Amino acid sequence: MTFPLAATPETILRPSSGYILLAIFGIAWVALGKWWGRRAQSYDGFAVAGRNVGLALGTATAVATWITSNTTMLAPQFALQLGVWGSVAYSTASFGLFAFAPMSGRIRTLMPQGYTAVEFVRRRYGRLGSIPFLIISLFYALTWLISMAMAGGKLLNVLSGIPYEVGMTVVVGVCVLYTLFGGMYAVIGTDFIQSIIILIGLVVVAVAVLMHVDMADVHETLRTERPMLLSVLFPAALMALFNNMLFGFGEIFHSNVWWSRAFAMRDGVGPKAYALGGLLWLPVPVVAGFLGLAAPALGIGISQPDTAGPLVAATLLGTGGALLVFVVVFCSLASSIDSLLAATSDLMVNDMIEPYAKKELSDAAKRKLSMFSIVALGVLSWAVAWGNNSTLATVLFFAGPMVGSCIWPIVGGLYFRRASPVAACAAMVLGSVAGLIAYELIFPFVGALVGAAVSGITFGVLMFLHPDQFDFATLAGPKRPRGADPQFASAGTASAETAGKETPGADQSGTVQSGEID
Amino acid sequence: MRLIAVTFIVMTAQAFGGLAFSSAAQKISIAQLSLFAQETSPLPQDSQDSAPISSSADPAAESSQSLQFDQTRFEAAEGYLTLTWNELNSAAEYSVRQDSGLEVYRGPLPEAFVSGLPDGTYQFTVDALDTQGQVIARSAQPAVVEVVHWPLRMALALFFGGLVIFLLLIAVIIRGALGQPEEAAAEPSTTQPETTT
Repeated sequence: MTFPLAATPETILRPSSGYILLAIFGIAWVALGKWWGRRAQSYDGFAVAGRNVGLALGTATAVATWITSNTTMLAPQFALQLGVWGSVAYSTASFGLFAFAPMSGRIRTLMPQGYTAVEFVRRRYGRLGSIPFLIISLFYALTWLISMAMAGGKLLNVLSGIPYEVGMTVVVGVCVLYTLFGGMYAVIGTDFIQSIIILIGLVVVAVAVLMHVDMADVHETLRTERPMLLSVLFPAALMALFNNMLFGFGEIFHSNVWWSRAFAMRDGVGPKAYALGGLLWLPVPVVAGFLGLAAPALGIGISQPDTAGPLVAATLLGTGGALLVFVVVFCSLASSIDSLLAATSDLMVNDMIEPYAKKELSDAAKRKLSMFSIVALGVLSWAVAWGNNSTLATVLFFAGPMVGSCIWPIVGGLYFRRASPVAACAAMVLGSVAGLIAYELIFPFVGALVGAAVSGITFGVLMFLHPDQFDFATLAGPKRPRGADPQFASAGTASAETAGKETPGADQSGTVQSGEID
Repeated sequence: MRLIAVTFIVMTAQAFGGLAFSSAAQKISIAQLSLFAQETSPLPQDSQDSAPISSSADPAAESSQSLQFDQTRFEAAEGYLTLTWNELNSAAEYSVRQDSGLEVYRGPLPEAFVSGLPDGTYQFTVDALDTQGQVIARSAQPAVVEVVHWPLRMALALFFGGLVIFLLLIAVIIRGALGQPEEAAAEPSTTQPETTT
């Protein structure tokens, strides 16, 4: 492998500049992560930041995590493919944050000592529900992680000529290091700075767009050269609109990235933080999407639509724009990869290793296992991403039908006593299968929609035919999955009883008083 | 904190400004795509309008410079597609034109993304251009794209199906959330100072 340092005609930044930026920000993130993570002595500190994250940090981490490199790459791609509707469709992902806002409050109340989404499903639906949910969660988390690693290598390469393998390795390595040092404390702390840098960068780009691009020109060019991009009745775009929204719902509702933050935020903070995060995130894909729509008016030839956004931003802003794009991209990559590493390691420790061990692990053991998991996830994603053999959009949207099928089991599980293990399992399995078939046979942009629809119908019918009468208070009690063997249950009794006594929202009889729908 | 971030970005930009750009202005590009191509390296008029292939190329060179699309027939129900063709070593960039004469792509990569096409049949040709903007090769066979969008009835059915699912979800969440203020009021206060700032 060679390490070019001279400028090439195909890149806007010299590789040497890219290497220096990578070094500066890489060292900064690791140092900040180590500093922020100095409090992560206990497992609670490492996994859920002591369950005491406030509104500012909570909002920042929601925004930073949801602004991935996909937002800067795929939102312009959506706009170029599906026009104005495509841009709107991408921005509907913010509705997922709005919808999750009240859910995060209920999650925090029902499981004050919880760690993961899979833990909720295991205790709510037992093994029948948790097995398909764990498979979907792992598939999604690994897919997202690998696609982020690939996007890192690809973006740094096209921006500065840094070889794909080098850029990808540095991005993954830096994130693994600071997550390893500080766990959730480091993730949320760095997210705060990263979100500020990302938002400032996007505001600068938005201002530059308004100053340099004549809206009337853009509209006229699209009207004459690419008329479907302005059409209200663009069939593919109409199909994609709610598909993308439901994909976003599925991603947020099921992913431990968002559940772990709900557990990490102080009581009462989650709903406000997620709602504010959604508001801050909403305009981002609109700005990014407009970059894609402006490309034809600027006379920019597009080979790969997912690079249209950075390309147009760099065109409008020149050298400063290229630097800004580089930094924003690095921040958005890091803020997503670190979240995935932390949340997925929680999932591995709490939902795979601990249940397999059939005893409650000590705080120190879980802390150590978390660190091993983070390294393992980093190595795995690095190894798979090394081949760079799949397109970003394909990897991302393949998970859509699967996460779409989790929406109803999660919402129903949080609010319906009648939601039963059979209904949840069948909804996830049938929804995933139907969504994947639709994805392959009809159109990729209907996979999540079909998955959510089939899952919802299945869930509703089976909840009626095989109703449960779940006691929500048990979620705050002993760490015992439905149908678990007594040995495991008794092993976890001591600490779980303590947790049960401190459970807010439970009355004397142990029944959660409200927020349930019979 | 915001000031620190802004200062840092400005300092970084100052430190790297002037070092970062490629010296060849007409080749400013990222993603291996050339920007400002029409402004900085315009084709001669004759090459923009059905330009003849340069006669200076000898037959051997011409035969080695045959240009062809990797795929010449497309059906695009979404109105977008990617055209690809073989790369020529001697080409500085490529120009793809629609049969209407509209140039839909100019850049150094042998790949063009075209979108926003209404129902209809379209033909595309690609020209390979040298550094002077002269056409050195042209695709022997055009790429023919037939666009028949998805039926609007099906699209609207999926649109309204998605809308119903969305509204149902929101109704369930709101109904569940409306019960929570009562529950929250009954909770003991666990507020502690924020520790991670």
